[in-house]
Amino acid sequence: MNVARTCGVAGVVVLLAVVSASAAISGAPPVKGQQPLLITNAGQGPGAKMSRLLVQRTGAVADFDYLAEPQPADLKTKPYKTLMVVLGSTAKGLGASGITIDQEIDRLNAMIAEAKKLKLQIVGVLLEGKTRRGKPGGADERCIDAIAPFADYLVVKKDGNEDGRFDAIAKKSGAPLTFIDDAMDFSEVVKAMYAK
Amino acid sequence: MNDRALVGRRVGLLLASLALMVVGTKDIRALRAYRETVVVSEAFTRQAPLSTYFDGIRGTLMDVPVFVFDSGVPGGSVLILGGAHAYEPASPVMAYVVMENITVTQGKVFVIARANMSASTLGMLGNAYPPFFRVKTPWGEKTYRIGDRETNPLEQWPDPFTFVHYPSAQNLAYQDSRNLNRTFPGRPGGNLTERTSFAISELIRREQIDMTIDVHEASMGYPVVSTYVCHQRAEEMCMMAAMILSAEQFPMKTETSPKSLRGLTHREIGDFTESFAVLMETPEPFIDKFVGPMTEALMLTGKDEFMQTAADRGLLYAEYDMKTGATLDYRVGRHLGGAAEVIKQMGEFYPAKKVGVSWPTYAAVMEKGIGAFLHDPAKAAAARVFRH
Repeated sequence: MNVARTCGVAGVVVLLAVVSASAAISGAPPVKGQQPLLITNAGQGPGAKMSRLLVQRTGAVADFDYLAEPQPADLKTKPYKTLMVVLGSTAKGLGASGITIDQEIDRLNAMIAEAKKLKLQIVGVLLEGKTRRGKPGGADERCIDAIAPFADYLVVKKDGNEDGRFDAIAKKSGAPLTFIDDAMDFSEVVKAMYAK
Repeated sequence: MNDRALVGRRVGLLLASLALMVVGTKDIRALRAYRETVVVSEAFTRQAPLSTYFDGIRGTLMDVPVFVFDSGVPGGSVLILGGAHAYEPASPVMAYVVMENITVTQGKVFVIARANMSASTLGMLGNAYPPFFRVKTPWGEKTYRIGDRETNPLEQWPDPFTFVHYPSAQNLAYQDSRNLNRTFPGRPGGNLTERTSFAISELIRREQIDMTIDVHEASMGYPVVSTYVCHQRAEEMCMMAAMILSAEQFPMKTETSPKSLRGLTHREIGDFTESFAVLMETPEPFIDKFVGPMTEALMLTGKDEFMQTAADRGLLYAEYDMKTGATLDYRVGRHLGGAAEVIKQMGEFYPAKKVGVSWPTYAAVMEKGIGAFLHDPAKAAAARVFRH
C-alpha cells in the first residue's frame, strides 16, 4: 500500500515536473488518457495525421488507431476508451474525401452522439492553432462547434485562442483546457496523459 | 488621289507599322534574349541538358540545363525544381542561391532553376508588371526575369478549347495546356509543356530521385499559401518538417495532395515515379489580384496597402503586416529553410536516403539578404559561371 502510494506520489511529482519544466505547456495539467485510443479529425484537415505521428513517436500509447472519417458504428469495432478529435478543416482535405462541410458536420454530430452514448472520453485538440481558425460560420468554426463543447478535455495551440473562444467553451462545459505553444509540444501533453 | 500617291501612302503606313512593331516589341525581345547568370558552388559536378532524358524537347527553350551536385558518398538524391511558374520568382532565385552556395557531404542534389524557361520570356497579359527585377549584392546588381505563369504562346499555340489532362482525362482550363504544374506526368507525344513534364518525369525515374521539391509562390488569398503540399507517401515527412519549422523558424502548414486534382507535381510525380513529391508555397503579394501597382518594388518588398486592408478584414490565409511585407529575402529564405528541413526529415524517416546538404539558412538570409549569397561572375572561375 505504502509502496503504491509512494509510486503514485512520485508519478504525480514527475508529471508536474515534466509539465512545469516546459513553459511550452500551460493552463490545466494534462488529464489521464485511456486506451484503446482512437484518433480522428473534424474537418478533414491534416492535424489528425500530425497528431497520430506525434503520438506514435512518443511511444507512450500502446493501443491506438487512426480513422479519417469514423462513422458511429466504427466506435464499436474495438472497446475504445478515448476518442481524440483534432479540429481543423481544409478545402483540399474535404475535396480529397469527396464530401462537403455540411456532410462532415452531420457525420461529426452522429459520431459525438455515439461517443457520448458509449461514455468515451472525448479529447478535443486544436493542434494547428490559428491556422485552423476562421470567420464565424466558416468550416473551421463549425467543426469547433461540433466537437469542443462536448469534449471532456481540450488541448489548444495557444494562438488559436487569441479571441478567448476556447476559454469560453471550457468555462461553460467545465472541461480542463491545456495550452501548447507549438504543435510539437503536443508530444509532451501525450506523454503526460499516458504516463504510467 | 492618283495611284502613285495611294501606293506611297500604303508604303508609308506599312513602314510606320513596322516601326511601331520594332519599338513595341523592344521589351519583349530584350526579355527573350536576356540570360541570367549563376556562379555554381565548388560542389558542382556536372550539368546536362534536360533533353538527355527525353529527346522530344531538344532544340526548344524547354531544353534547360540540369545541374548536379554529387558528394560521391552513397545516400539519397533530391531534385529541386525551380521556375515551374516563372512569375513566382522566389522559386528560381531560391534555386540559384542553392546552386551558388551548396555543399553536399552525402548523396546528391539535382537542380533545375528554370523548369519552364519559355514562361520566363513574357509577362502576364493585363498585369502590366516590369520584365525584370534586380537584387542588390555587395558587388553590384543581379538581374532576373519575372515572367508569366504559363508557357509562352510563341512556343506553344493555339490553346485547345478545353485541356484534357493525360492520362486521367480530367478536363482542365484551356490555359492549363501551357501550365507546367498541370501537365505532369507528361507524355512523349503531347504538346511542348507536356513533353517537358515527361522529360522531368524521365529524369526522376532514370536518376532514381528520392525526393522532388517543386518550389512555388502563392497569392495570400489562396488557402495553401505558406504550405507544403505533399503526396501521400511524403506526408509524414512534411508534417514533421512543418511542425518543426513552425516551432523554430517560420509558420508553415502542410496539406496532402488530393487524389482528384490532376496534373500537379505533388500528385503525378508521386503516382508515376518512386520519388517523394513535395511542393512548397510562400506568400507573394505581387501575384494577388487586389494589390496596387505591380512594380519592381512590390516584387522585392511585398508591401502593399490594399493587401493590408485585406489582412485587416481577415481575408488572407497568412499573417501580413505592411511594415514588414513579404520581402524576396523572406520568401527565398523560407524556401531554403523549407527544403532543408524536409530533406532532413527524409533522412530521419529513411536513413538510407539521407542527403547531407547545406546552404544559407533562413536566419542567415533574413540577416544578410540574398545578395550576400550571390557571387560576382566577373571574379569567378569561368568553369563555374553559367548563363541561362
